[in-house]
Amino acid sequence: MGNVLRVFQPDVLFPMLIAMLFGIFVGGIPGLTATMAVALIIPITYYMSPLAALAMVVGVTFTSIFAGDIPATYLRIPGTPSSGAAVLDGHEMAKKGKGSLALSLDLFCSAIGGLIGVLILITVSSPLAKLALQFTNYEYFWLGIFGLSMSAVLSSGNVIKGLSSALLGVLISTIGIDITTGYPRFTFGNIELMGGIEFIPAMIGLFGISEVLKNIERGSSGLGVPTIKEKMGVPILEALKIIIKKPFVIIKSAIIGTFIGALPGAGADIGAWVAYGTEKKTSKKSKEFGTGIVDGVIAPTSANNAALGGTWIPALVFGIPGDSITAIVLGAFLMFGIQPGPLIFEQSGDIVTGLFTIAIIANIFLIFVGYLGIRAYSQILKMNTSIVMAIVVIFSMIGSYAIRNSFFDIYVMLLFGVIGYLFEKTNVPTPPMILGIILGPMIEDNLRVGLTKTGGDMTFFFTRPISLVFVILIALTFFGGPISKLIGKIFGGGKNK
Amino acid sequence: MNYKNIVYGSILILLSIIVILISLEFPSYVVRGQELPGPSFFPQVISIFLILIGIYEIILGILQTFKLKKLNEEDLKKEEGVRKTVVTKKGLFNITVVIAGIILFVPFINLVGFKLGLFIFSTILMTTFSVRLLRAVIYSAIVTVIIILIFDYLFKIPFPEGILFSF
Repeated sequence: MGNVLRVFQPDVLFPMLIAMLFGIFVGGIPGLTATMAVALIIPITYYMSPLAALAMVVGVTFTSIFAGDIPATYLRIPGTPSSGAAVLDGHEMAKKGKGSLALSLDLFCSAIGGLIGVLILITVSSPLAKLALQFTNYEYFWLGIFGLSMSAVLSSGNVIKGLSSALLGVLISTIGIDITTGYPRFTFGNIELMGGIEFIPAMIGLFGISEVLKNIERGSSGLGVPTIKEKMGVPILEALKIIIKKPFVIIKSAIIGTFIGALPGAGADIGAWVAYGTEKKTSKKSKEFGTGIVDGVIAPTSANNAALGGTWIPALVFGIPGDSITAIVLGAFLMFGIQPGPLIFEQSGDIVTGLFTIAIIANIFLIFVGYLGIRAYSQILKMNTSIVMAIVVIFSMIGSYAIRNSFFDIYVMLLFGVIGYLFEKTNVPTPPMILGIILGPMIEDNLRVGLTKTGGDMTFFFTRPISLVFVILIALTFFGGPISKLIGKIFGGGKNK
Repeated sequence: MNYKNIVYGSILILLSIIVILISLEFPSYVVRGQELPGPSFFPQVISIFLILIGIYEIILGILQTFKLKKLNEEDLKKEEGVRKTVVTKKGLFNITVVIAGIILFVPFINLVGFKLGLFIFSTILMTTFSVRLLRAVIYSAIVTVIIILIFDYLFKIPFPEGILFSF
């Protein structure tokens, strides 16, 4: 109880607020990720108390994940990888003059989703972590395939083209050193390619540069007008009215996000895509997804912040980081003499209580800090499209370079920008390619290790209970629609008669 | 003729064949006399799937050409939507400037330095997008200062000083 009250002291709350503002700033810049924001804040926390340090880390994480959705909505450039799914409907809403509404929804859903994630973390962290630990190579392989099948669902209208885009992404992910044998694949002697294709420049290119090329292809027409044609503001009441009507979408997406986040290696980005895909598949307005529908904003934005709570589950209970952010945070834990693992609740119970309280406060503060962030970033977008397009090109370039100080990544971004532009011209969806690049290594590694274990026998991939659940889910992803229509026809037809 | 599907399918097949041919040269992975899935295994599996999709796309394109498969209204609308977005001459020029500009940006900043290079590049981009020169210069100066403050001073990301000038 002492640490709960201790969190409310100015020496904890003030650094947390500063860190949250910093998170909004970093997350909103394309190319600068939430991981980078956390990595940058850690050195500042060296000389602080563990609680204040944790407050800064947690604060910066939640706000930077949200802030990534701001350029995703207005410019179609995801600020962080976890904002990729938010682009789909958020940007379409912005194109219709409802960008402020999309971001207001996003802000509340991020806060609510984050809170749900934290509450799940507090209540069911132990059983969930145990379930996550039961995942072996076979389950992780199917989890990856499930993600890819979701990408086919995400593709607007054409499942086969979506699949091809996803498979091309997976193929791209094989570029670089083969982890098992150390053999360089498709590198053609280029040292830069040894490390593989960095997916953030690829994502910036596919979404950002392709959007610029699309905007400038008609010459000067449309370039002289302001980027945002709507009246600026943050319509809080309108957003709240919508949210009240959609409690199940938020709760379902937040639970999915938390669960995916709890799986080591699968972070907020995969959580957001899976939640979006699930919502699209189960929604009555399935066909409207991707056209600027509010459910398409609510699902991924609730899930990506909820996933943060999930990533803490294996991190706290087993000392296994859920994603790159918690990997950095675990390092900070050790720095403060806190040993993550099953005994943390007994040995450092006060710190864990403090952490939970901080996470709850951070999600409440997110609404205020996020509000400021939306207003600040939207000022920039009052400029003419021509100026904004030039700025997007520049920030995309510098953002791509900044990830690993590599000029090569600028060329990667350009290549993917051109691919994205050509994809749009031929009706091939781009999001599955990103998911393919992200999930490719996970699928390949687990397939190969699994096959090595079984001596090439695939039956193990189907006989384990959790694997079987995934196989059924994948089958439902592809054939769930036709099956439900058939059932509807049979029973609906009977009623009519 | 529905060229888009046929061309897309052909590209998928061609790319997959190239991948398979390259991966044939990858070493096999043998442990204690047992051949295990090596570096070529996964790319080849993916390529086979892509070839199948490529064949499907080509057949679809041919069938649509001979009107054996009728397009539904939604597809027609999409086709119309794509046809409407015609690239103009000025648009093609814009695209060329962006692509060439990004390609030349790295050697250019290595020559004149990051700060000056970024300012010039930004001004060229904005004037290409029909922003008046004075406005483009002012905005470019602001953008350059912001980028330097964020990336250079705050995040300490190293940028080239340039061979010709350094300041």
